[in-house]
Amino acid sequence: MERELSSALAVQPGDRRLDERPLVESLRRGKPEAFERLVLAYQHRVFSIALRMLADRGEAEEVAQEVFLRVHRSIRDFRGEAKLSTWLYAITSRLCLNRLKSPSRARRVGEAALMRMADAHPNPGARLEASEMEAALHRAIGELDGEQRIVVVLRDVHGLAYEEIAAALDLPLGTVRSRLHRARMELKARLEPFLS
Amino acid sequence: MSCHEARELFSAKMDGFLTPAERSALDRHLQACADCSREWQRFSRTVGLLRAVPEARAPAGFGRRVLEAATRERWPRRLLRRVFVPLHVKLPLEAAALIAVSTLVILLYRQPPEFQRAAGPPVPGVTAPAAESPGKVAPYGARQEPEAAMEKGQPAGKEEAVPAERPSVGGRTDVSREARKSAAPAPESKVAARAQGPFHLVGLLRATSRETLDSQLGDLVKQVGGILVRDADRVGPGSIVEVIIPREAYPRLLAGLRQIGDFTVETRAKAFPDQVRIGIRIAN
Repeated sequence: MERELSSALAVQPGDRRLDERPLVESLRRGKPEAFERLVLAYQHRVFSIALRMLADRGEAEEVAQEVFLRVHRSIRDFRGEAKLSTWLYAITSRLCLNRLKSPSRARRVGEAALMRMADAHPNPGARLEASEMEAALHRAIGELDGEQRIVVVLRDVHGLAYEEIAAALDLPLGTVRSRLHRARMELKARLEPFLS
Repeated sequence: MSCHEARELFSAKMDGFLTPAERSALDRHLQACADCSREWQRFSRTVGLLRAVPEARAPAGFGRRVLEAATRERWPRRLLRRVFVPLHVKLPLEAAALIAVSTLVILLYRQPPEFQRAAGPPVPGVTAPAAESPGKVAPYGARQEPEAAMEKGQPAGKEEAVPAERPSVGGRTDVSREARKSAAPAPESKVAARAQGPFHLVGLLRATSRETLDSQLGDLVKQVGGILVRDADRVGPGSIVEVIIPREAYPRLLAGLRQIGDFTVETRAKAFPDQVRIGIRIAN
């Protein structure tokens, strides 16, 4: 048991080679250290997806925290039919899309929020060096509609496989492909001035 | 391949999903079409930029805050879950509760006679008096009144009440002796008294001849086709005799007892079953 846990705990955050089975078993048994390990392993990935989707660090942190609390509350119901990471991405995506659809948020978030997205670089020094292109890219991402944005964020920014995206968003694979292609083409169009 | 068809394949080319035939067709088109070639360059650069976006890092202390929040919401949920949800807790609790309730029911049923009587079927005969109430005949299922239809013509004066100080009659002879020995209630005698079976009739026999009593009683019971159970080797004063006879033999037994001496019915059931159990106390 301790050995299993140790092997699960040994992975680095975001490591895709993570063998989730011992971690899931420990989580189901209510091991606090297992939950801690889950948070450590996925906090940056979950926060990053939320940030790229919402373009607001405060909101992204709220969503990321809610993701982990939901996992904590319902890990006993996790049937293991999908990967634990896919489940995490599904919750994150759903919470982000729900926020984007909120009418009150749509009024609140304006150009300022889109600008903050460009400022979301973790390193303040690097932020100053961020190119105009990078700022434009973040702005363009923020201008995509939510359904397209989540596909681009999961695939191109965070490198998920098509199948994993389809599972997380509960979409057919073909829909994921077409949505991703439309999003990329739209981004290309928005970045046209910077690409020529 | 048209330009539109070519550009629709950009994502598949980017992700390496093209078949060899599609890839060669697209490459041929891109070599021949400057616009599509430029579009492809822009497309691939866009995707390259997206893929170069670094993964954002959660704010410092984020993990700690999540764990604290989980801990805060954990205890009431954990309490509820441990009481109601997990089988490894719920099943033993339910089993323990079932055992406790069953034990309680058994104890309640077995210990107080009132519960036994209330729970059990009506006893057709006379319940033998318990030792804790010496001198009193248990009234349940019996009537302390002159004999009824089966003994017509019996003088009412003979149906006198049993004196209060007289020892009670037990259904089992050894139990009855124990009961007589101790007027004070004892736990053992209580248990024994509860274990006694009911007599359908209890009477007092004052024999004319004590010397021939034993043989006379034995002969009489034999004649009526009954069974005699003595509490001693020989029936004598103070003895308790249990007689079991067929119901139809009761008049003949009664007539025979009155030839042996003075027999007084003390208690009797309203109706007799096929086999009637009679307790005969031999007077001193």
